[in-house]
Amino acid sequence: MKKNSEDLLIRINELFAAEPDAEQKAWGIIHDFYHYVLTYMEKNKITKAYLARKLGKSRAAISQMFNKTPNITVVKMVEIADAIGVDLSIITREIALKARKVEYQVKTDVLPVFIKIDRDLEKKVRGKNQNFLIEGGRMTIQIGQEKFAISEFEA
Amino acid sequence: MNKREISFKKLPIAEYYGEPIYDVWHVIVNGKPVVLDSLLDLDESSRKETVDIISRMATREKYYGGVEWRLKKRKYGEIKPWGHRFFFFVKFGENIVIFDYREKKRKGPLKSEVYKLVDKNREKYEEEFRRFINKNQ
Repeated sequence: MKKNSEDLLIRINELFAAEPDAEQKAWGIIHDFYHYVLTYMEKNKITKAYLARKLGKSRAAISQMFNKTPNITVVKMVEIADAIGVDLSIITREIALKARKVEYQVKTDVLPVFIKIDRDLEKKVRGKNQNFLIEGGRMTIQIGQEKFAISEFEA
Repeated sequence: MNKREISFKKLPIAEYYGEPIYDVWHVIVNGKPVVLDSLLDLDESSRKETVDIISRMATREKYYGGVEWRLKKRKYGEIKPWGHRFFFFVKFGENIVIFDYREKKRKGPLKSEVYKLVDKNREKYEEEFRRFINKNQ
C-alpha cells in the first residue's frame, strides 16, 4: 500500500476515534433534534405540509430545512417542536443515557442475569442469549466479531 | 492494467457515542479510501458534522438526523451534511457500507443520471462486500 493511502486511512480513523469537541457535540444536538422531530412526525402521522401550515411557511421551505439540517437557533427549534406538539427541554447527556437504559433478563450458562443495557442495543440482542458470556466476574456480549462489556448486571 | 483490488475498512466509533449496534465500513480500492478521502477535503465544520452523523448512525436504531435510510426508488440511502454533499450507503444486517460520495455544484436536486451512476456503484460494491464479509467471518 502506498504511503499516501496509509496516511489517509490513519487520518480518517483518527477523525472517528477522537472524542468529539464542542463543535462536534453541538452538531450532535442539532442532528438529535431533527431525528426526534422526524421520528415523532412519522409516529404521529404529522405531515410536512401540516408543519408548514403551522409555521406559516411554504412546503418547499420545510422540505429544504429538513434536507439541509442547517445550524438552527434555539428559538427556531422550540417553534418547530411547539408546532408538532412536542414540549422541548434540555437534559444532560448523563440523564439521557440513563433513561435510554432498560433492564433486560438474559440466560447464561450459569444463571439468569439481569442487565442494564442501552435500549437500541437491547433491540439488537433480544433472543440472542448465547452471545452473553460471564468470565471472571465480568460480563460481555458478543456482536459480530466484537465484544462489549456490560457494566451493570446482577444475578 | 492491473485489476482493481477492492476491500472494506471498518470505522472506529468514539466512546462518547455509546455502544455501536452497526459496524460502519468504507470502500478501499487498491489500498486507497476512495470515498471517505473526500471527508478530508471538507471544511472543518462539515467534517465534524459528517463524523457526528455517521457515529450516531452506528450507535442508534434508524437514526434520522441528516440521514435518509432508503431513497425513493433506490436501494441505498444517503447521508447529507449540508444540502450539497452526499455520502451514499447500503445496510446489510448489522453492517453499513459507505460506498460513494457526490458533491452538487448547482441548485436543485442531484440529476437522475448521478443516482443511476451511484446505483451502478452500489451493485458493484454490494457484491464485493458480500464476498468480503463471507471471507472474513
